[in-house]
Amino acid sequence: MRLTNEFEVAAPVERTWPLLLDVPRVAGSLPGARLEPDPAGDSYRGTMKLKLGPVTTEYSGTARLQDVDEDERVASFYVQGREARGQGSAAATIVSRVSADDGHTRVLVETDLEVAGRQAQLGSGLMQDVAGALLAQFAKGLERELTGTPYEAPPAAREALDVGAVAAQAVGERALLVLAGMAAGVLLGRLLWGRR
Amino acid sequence: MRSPHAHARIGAVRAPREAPGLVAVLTSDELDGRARPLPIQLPHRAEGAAEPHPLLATGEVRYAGQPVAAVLAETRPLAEDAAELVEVEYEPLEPVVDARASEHELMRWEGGGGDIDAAFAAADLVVRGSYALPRLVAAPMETRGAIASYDGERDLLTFWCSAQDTHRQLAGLIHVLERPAESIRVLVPDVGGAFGSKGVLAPEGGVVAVAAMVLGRPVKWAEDRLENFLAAYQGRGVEADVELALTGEGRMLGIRAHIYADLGGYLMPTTAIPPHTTAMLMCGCYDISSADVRVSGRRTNKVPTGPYRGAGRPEAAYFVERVVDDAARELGVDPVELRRRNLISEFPHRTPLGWTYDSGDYELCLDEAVRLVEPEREAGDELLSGTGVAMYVERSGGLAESADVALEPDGRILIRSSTSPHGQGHDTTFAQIAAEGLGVELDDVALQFGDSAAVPSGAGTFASRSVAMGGSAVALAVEKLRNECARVAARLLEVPEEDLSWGPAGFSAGGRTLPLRAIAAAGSALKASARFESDLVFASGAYAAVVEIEPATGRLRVRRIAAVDDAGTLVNPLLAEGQVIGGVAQGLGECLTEEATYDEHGQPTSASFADYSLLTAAEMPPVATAFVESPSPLNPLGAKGIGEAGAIGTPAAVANAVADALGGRGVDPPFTEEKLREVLT
Amino acid sequence: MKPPPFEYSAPGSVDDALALLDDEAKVLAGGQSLVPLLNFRLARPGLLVDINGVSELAYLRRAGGALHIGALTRQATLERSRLVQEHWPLLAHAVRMVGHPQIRNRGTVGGSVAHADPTAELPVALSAVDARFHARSRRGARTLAAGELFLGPLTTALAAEELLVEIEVPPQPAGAGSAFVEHARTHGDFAIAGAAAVFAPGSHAAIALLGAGPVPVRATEAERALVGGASAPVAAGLAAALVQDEHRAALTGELVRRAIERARP
Repeated sequence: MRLTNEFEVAAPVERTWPLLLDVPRVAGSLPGARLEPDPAGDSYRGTMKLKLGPVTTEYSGTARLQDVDEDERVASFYVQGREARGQGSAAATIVSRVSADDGHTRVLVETDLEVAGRQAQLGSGLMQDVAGALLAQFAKGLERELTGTPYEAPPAAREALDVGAVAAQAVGERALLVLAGMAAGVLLGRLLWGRR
Repeated sequence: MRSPHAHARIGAVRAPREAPGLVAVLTSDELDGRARPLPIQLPHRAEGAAEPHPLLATGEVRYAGQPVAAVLAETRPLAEDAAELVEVEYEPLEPVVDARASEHELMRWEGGGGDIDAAFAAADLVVRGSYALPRLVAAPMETRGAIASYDGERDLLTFWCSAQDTHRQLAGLIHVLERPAESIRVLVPDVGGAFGSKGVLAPEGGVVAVAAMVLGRPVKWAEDRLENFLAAYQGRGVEADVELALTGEGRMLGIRAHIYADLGGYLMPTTAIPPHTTAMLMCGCYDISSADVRVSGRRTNKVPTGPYRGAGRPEAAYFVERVVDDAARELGVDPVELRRRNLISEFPHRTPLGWTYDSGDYELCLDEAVRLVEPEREAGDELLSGTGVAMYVERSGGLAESADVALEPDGRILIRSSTSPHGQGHDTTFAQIAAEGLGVELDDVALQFGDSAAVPSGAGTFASRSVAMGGSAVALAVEKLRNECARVAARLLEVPEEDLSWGPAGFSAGGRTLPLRAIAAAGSALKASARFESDLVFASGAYAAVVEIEPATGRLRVRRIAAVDDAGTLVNPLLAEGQVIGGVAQGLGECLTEEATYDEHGQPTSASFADYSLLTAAEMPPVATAFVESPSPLNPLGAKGIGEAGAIGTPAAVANAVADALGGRGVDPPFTEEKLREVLT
Repeated sequence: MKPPPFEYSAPGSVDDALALLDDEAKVLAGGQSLVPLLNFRLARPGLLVDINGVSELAYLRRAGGALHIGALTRQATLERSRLVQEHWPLLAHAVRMVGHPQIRNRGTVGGSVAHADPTAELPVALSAVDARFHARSRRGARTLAAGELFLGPLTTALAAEELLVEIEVPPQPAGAGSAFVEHARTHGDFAIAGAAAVFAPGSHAAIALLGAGPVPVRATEAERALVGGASAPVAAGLAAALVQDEHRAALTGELVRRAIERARP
């Protein structure tokens, strides 16, 4: 699955760019995620529990920063996770590009996502739904983090990221359709930045 | 426990040390030295790679759903719980999903005859087309399964399975386990359908057999529907570039075809057979004197393909009939007329590809089909309609079958047949043959099949061969038995055999009649056996369809279908018609909704009935059937095969009707709304 | 395809059921959506709360002009009800499109609503008739409109401790006709697109779309245009503009047009 997402954050690029690489800050604001540094060195290990109505998936995996281009402000991550129970897996290469736009920041995320196992085989529609809603959450969370508004998870999503509920707070029905989205592996990447 | 990846190397496989109800976990390590991969059957003159399907993956997996480990537990739910805990180190590799792009050939075949270059040089018109049929899921009502039990003292493995016949399961086990035939007994009870997908031993079946022997306990495997979608071999999955050379008057001079088959990750025993069959039938029903056909079976990271109702013949009918319609349009000739100018009319007829068609009346079939379908073509704003016809010729029969027939003491007849029905109604058909031959009631005939220890040997139930071969064996055995009975009757009536006459009431001479019951009661055990062997016989037919398309939505509706089949002598017309209608339904499914889809990573994306849509009775259009009978000279019944005809003729006829409605623009199935709207806008 | 292990409880009353609901529990009614998810191991609740014995939730009655559907009402009951056919024909039409008769014999109206499958017919039809949804929890009760209830794919505003108890439908506007139209690959298959329309020329129009998004979508601009006297094709065009996918938009436009024309009283 190739997914492209673009969104805008009401903050200047000088503030946004470093945040994109500041793992703990972004990860901390997302319920359902737990992470810790990998003793081996330059990556993080963690778990991510996702919920879409009655459907729940828990992945555990690793993520690392593959490369950073300071000049162009492009960061590329590789994330992979395995289902905690079951044989499914997800892997993603995520390339994020930020650019200045009149005091705002435009963020372009290009994701190459591969999901193996039941989630891909049963109802590909399901993955698209999860992906779409997840990105909406990320955009919201990032914006709040940057503008200083503390992010409060909706009551239904304390222990797991309730993707559907979060989607409700996204930018409206049309936007939901417009955002192609990420999936679990991608969000995992957002959380588990590599150490630079 | 199956691979989630379409292509990966396997490192360590770590089984949970304990889990509720867990008995054992088997991987390829445990099978090493105990079992070999499945065998490979190559068609005549085909070249094949030595890449058989292993029972459990060894070092690498080549399709999502491939069995990696067998998790054995006290119950199925507990086995599934434990299977989730098995950890496998996968190193994902780049999957190949497009057959044409694959550089790896699993199978290759080339054939032809006549002077193809001269034919194309002399042609006034060369028509070229590329056509494709996607992969399909067989979707039998009952999924696959097996139970194995091993008696160590007698060194006997007993194997019950949901399969098409006992013989090929037995042959598979003999090969995989390297054991002699006498040490294995295979039982195939009445089975809930197969459509070709249960012909050969499944890898999981082999694992079950080994597990029973290793564990010393009976082992049962009943796959669930998801596993059936992932790992049962699929059908079709072929595309072809076809070139037809014709004169300006529409005489076909030669045909060239390059066929690409998407064979999947391994060569299962019968994977190579359907593409070869397609190639051999590329002259269709037409008197074409030269042909040149190549088949390239490519390896992809998908589950392997194999025979599925039609097994190569629907593909041939599709490729040939589509190019013939394209030729008609280019020549400006009526497609029915173009066919008439080229139909084979003298039999036996040997094609340049090598097969000899035994009998047929192609023109009569074509005329009947056109008459029955009531052609229609209209191009309105709200609705487009079109008509299409398609001829087919198909091979069936061949090899050999056997039957033992016995007269029981109570006057009933017991038939032991080497074929096994799985929905075809052999009980009735074979009983009819025996009842007629021996003058008994249908209810007085019993059929026994499906036990390798009890039934005579044969090839099996596939390729619509059971009536032609199995039925003929029964007919011969019945005749022999009747002769035995005549001998006894002559003795009892104290007359010479020549003076006996045979009638519905029994044997008569000099005013006295002895019914079969009396002969049976006389005490001697009367029985007879026969083995029947023959070359292939060739059934044929013409199908026609009228369709309508709604331009606003792209929705296709098949208004009616005419199915005219020539299966030689029909033993039971009612059963034959049932087979045709069933085949038409599957052929229609292929046209309207069915397609086994994969994403770019080789993940199957239609792995449940929610995504893989089967037609319901509500979608069936009226189907007019008719039968032409050109008896085959090659067997005593004159029978050919009818089981797959509906699936063979329907897709080609509907495709031609769709192209007709679209004003000559052809589309490959399934004819989804998106596809049709795209053509129209 | 066997479910993962779970605890099971079958309360006999709403209060008993509410006492059991929390993050780890999942309500089982008709099971037509939940059981496949369990079998595929896509859902892993710790506790299954089987409410099929909570008979106080199975009722269908008209009172004060409004229709009160107990959440446990079987879809087949809704389908066969003379009351519904006469006074809320849209619901009778819509429920007939749900799967196959066997599914409707077990599936419940409340279950279909609470499950919120994007391709489900009942949420769309109930949106079009401005239904109100009553939920209860240990802490109290509340009522939600369709727009507040359906949040996303398989997601409603119902909290884990809440149980949907009743769906209330106001009387159909005077002089209004209605129609439900959908498009699926085969009979009983999941719908690809659909439209529910309630229309009283000059005074009231409601158009709810199936397949335009992950939740039922009211085509408010099209509704206003219709009331203002616009033709069916024009209104359909406005509705279709809400759908992203080009093919699905064309299909939706066609279905809305048909629905409006059939709804003309």
